[in-house]
Amino acid sequence: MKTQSFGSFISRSLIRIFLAFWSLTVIFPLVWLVYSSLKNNREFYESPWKLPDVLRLENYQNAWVTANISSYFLNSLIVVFGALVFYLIMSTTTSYILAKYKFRSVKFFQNFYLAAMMIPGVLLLVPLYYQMLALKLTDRLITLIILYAVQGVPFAVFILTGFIKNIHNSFIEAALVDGASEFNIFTKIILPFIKAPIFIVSLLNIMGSWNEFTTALTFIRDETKYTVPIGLSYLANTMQYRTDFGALFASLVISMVPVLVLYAFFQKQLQEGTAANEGVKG
Amino acid sequence: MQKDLQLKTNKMKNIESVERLTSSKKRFILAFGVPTFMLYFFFCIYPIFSSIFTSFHSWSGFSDMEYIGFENYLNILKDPVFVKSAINDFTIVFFKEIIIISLVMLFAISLTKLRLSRAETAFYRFVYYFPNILSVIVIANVWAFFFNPRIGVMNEIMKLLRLEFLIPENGWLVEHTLPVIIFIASWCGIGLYMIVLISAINNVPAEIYESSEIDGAGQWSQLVNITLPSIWSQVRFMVVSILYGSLASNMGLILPLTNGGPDNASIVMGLYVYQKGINLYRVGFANAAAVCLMIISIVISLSSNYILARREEK
Repeated sequence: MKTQSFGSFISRSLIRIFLAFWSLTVIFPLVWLVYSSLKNNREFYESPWKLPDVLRLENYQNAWVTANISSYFLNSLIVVFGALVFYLIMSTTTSYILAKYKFRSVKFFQNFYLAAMMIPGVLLLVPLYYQMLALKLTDRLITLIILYAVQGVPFAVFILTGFIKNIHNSFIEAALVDGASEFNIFTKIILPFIKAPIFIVSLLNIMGSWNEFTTALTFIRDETKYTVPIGLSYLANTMQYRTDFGALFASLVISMVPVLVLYAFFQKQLQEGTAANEGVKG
Repeated sequence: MQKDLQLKTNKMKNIESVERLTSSKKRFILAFGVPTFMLYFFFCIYPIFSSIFTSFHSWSGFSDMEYIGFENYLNILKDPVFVKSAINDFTIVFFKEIIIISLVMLFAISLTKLRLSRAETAFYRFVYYFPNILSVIVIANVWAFFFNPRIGVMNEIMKLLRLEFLIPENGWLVEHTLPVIIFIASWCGIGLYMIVLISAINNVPAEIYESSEIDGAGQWSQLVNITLPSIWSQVRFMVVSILYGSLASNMGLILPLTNGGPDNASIVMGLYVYQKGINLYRVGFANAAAVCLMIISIVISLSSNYILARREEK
């Protein structure tokens, strides 16, 4: 065991203090959000610090029922689930084709999906909006489902193609000898091999669709079709006329619950996945 | 013998058939590959072309298009609001880079080299990454309320620290719009890049450190001579990726936070495009702005990547 010099002890402690301070900038606003969601308006104005006198759980009831978060929640679930299904069908099949089929333009399509990862989605919003308007596809959940599924395809193809390439051809040969069809090879051999990466890209897609704000705001104007993020923005904007901080804070907390649960269980996969995504773009 | 040979040729046929494009493979491509590509093209590539096309026209989105050449582009470059939005974008990116890169390097090196306890490291990894899983709308609301002069705690914290004189009269988001946005944007970005950098540091082989220790290198010289050079290319990636990502996506945070206000103080290029195209129905004009933004981000990212790569060679 090495003895530490006094100087390094001080710098170590300083760094430790700063690490702790930065973690407070993350933890404190969220803790404040959660306990404030149990206060009423009077308590909000009295003191921003103060803990609630009694836990006003009715804020959550107000958020869920009166502020209609339940309906936004359901819409979001439909979008998340629908997008995930489309996304997985499109990206797994395309990855299989690009990894294991040999045809002349395969290189072109590989590069195409690779380059497509660099397209910033926000830049497409304006032309896409008028395209969807012409097709009468605004104010529909299916639009969000398609967009969330399609926009994630290049990244998923990039990840999954790499994994499928690693599957040894002898497994496919053996199946061919047994007379398996292409579809059977895909579902019985390829998919089971890439369960882990499929799980990671699915997680990223779920989180992305649940949190997505700008696209949803652009394409959904009908209140009954709101997803959670635009529902929250609508609630925050209507606060100018009818103030209920408690219900708004409770809605924010409710919207965080699903991602928080996923993060708590699958922190490692999520961090690896987004880091891979970032590594690609750099 | 003959049986053996037959088995062998059979096997070769099979190997061939893994590679060969059989008709059942063609059907698989037609059933899955082609529709995926078409959907992707229609929703993600075609809009780029249509925006370039309409950028040379005057179009409200509903009326007939009228060809006007480069007029949209000239008007954009003349519009002081667009110039302001470009300046804001670069201001935000500049400070974001400084804050994110320095903090991320500090955090990543501390968490890998300070020999903190496992629990401590795991805790910081969990907490710092946390903002990444939140929706921009949650982030925008939480911080907007945090800085809110009536019900937020920021003013209370300042009072506690005896810094009342620093409290802006009209609220933080009104008087110090850009600094607050820069802070929030950096707050969101740190966790992700820290994870990227930690894995880069952990990829440096332990033997290099061990042998340098035998040579008598201290922790400080190890940091300067081994750790920093080996993560430099990763840092370069980060600089370019923050730059490229921010120019297009600054608007994602600013739209719910201030919507460019007050009085265009926090307008950025992405938001400018959005407001003109979606709210004001000046589609051709907005698309021309989008093309400008696209060109600016690509040129800036490529050239910064080039400059940083050259420096690496030296």
